[in-house]
Amino acid sequence: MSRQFLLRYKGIAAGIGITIFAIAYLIGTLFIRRTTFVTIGAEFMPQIYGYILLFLGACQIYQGIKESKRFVEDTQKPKERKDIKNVLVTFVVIIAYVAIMNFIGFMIASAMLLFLMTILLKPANSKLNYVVTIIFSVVLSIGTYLLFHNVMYLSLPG
Amino acid sequence: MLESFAIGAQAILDPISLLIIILGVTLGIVFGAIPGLSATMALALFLPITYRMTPISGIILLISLYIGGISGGLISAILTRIPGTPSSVATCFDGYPMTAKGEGPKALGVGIVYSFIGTIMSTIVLIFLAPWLAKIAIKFGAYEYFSVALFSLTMMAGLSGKSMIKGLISGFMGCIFATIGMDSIGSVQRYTFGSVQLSSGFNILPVLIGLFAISEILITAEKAKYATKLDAVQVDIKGIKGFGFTWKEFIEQKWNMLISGLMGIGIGILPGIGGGVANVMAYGAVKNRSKYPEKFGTGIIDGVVATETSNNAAIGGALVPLLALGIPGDTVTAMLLGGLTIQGIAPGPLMFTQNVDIVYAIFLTMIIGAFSMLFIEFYGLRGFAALLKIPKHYLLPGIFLFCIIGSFGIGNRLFDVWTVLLFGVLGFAFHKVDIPPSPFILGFIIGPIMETNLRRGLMFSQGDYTAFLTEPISAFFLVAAALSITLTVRKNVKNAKKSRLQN
Repeated sequence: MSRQFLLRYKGIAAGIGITIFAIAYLIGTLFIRRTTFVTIGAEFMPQIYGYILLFLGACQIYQGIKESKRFVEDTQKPKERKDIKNVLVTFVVIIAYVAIMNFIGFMIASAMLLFLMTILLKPANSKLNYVVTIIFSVVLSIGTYLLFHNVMYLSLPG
Repeated sequence: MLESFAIGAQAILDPISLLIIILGVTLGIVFGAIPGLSATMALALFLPITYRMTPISGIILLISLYIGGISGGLISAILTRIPGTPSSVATCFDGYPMTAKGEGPKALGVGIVYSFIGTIMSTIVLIFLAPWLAKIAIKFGAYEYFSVALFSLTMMAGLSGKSMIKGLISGFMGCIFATIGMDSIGSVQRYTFGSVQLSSGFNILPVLIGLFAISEILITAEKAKYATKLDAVQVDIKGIKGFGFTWKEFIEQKWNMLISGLMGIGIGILPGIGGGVANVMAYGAVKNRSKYPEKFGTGIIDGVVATETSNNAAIGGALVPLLALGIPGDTVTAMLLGGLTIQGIAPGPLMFTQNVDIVYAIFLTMIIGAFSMLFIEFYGLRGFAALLKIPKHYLLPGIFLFCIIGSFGIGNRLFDVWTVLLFGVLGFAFHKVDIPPSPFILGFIIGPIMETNLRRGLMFSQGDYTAFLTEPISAFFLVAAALSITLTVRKNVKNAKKSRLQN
């Protein structure tokens, strides 16, 4: 899928996503236990929110269709290039960090995370000094652990 | 009132508290100055440190960060034309052209002095308005709270940026996520899928950290590879008299200052919006009433005065509903709400009788913080400008680590850390489809207040809805809500027609 295609239909996609979410949420209201001691039960507001969101989703789809018709393809090079792969890798690193923190401990996991994240967020045109990065990662993770564990008495995993 | 001030002064007039204020303001300015880092992030970063502090020390640190964070944005706006925070977007319009003309130090001096004036103006309003409002609010019952909440919710439609629909989607998504967990009246489980962790719902802090800090990291990851280097113009303040502008210029700006300050305060008081909206609106207003609107954008101090007075004035404004009603005025005060709750303090009218020391400590921190900001920011300019060069690929991972610790520390459970990640992804998705995240927070906080009070009110009135209309204050806010919706829809229809005609 080209970037232009995504830009053109992102309004509709957002509308569809919201609508599906609203429907799922409304179905969820059916499973809320009914109580009788208040005029309106626990399911009342979720139903209202759900229907409003459903309506807004429909409006967004309508607006998205109108925008896609008006959309003029920008043939010039995009001003700012984006790298969605880098976002995904960064996110996977974050998930892995939280998932393994309990097993290998806060300090080791954090040092690894800081090192990887620094590499991922580095601009392509600058060089990374690996020794500095390793020192940064290790010192910061040990430093924060000592600060929060020993000074602030916050319990951290590991 | 003087007695209350004495209590507040007793609490914060000691060397450690003053040191916390100076440190907080300085760090706030650093966060404000570096583009991509904001006052909300500064609070997210330092939140875990406040967990073990006394409530007063914790809250004065957070307030100082807030003051510094909102003002610091002017440094990069003026020196690099990139706003440090959304609060100084319009500062670029005239601030940078002034730098280009060689008037950088003057632009910075003006920005800093009017940030100070904005903070002081709004603090004065806060000191007089909040206790008065709290006195009224203490009499509020379920009907009134429901109507105020409903009115606040209508605000998010009108002021949510370009698209009203997207703003509303964001707001109602916030309401929806707040329904997860046990309901507050009948303890009925909603959307918990049998999970014990989910039954207490999502805590506001991980939601905020995820939505504003983690999503920012993902946005940086997206642009990181092709990021261009930030070059700050070198500015030397040596040999500059005072703050770089004359008394005559100061007197000429008095009306601009007053209008911008009042606009900032007003916008700050309205729930959900703060300095980010105030600076752009004040700039527009001052430009409209100016005798020489064509000069705006070419580098005149009027523009800088408008934006910098209004964004800092929004701070005091945003604290008014937080302290008097427990409803935050913007995202940073939503963070403060979370910070106070962790300390066991519930913001709202009762604070003025139960936590007088904290309320007045906040007022005094605002005043001392404003003075600290004035001097630290001006005389530390060179240092702050040098900080703009710190590579973001070292800064953001460090901030991320603190965010994780902060969310883990709330309840000593990994569940809150997962919450941060979930809302980080949601924030990133919002960014991709241009949905503003601020109304989400407003909905997340106000949704439950509205629901609880609606149901409670109906319990009192035994199912009679007219009770919401027969109570005068409640009726007033319901009418205001209806009016707000009508005006917003009318404005949007007009705008739509205008853009259709242009096409």
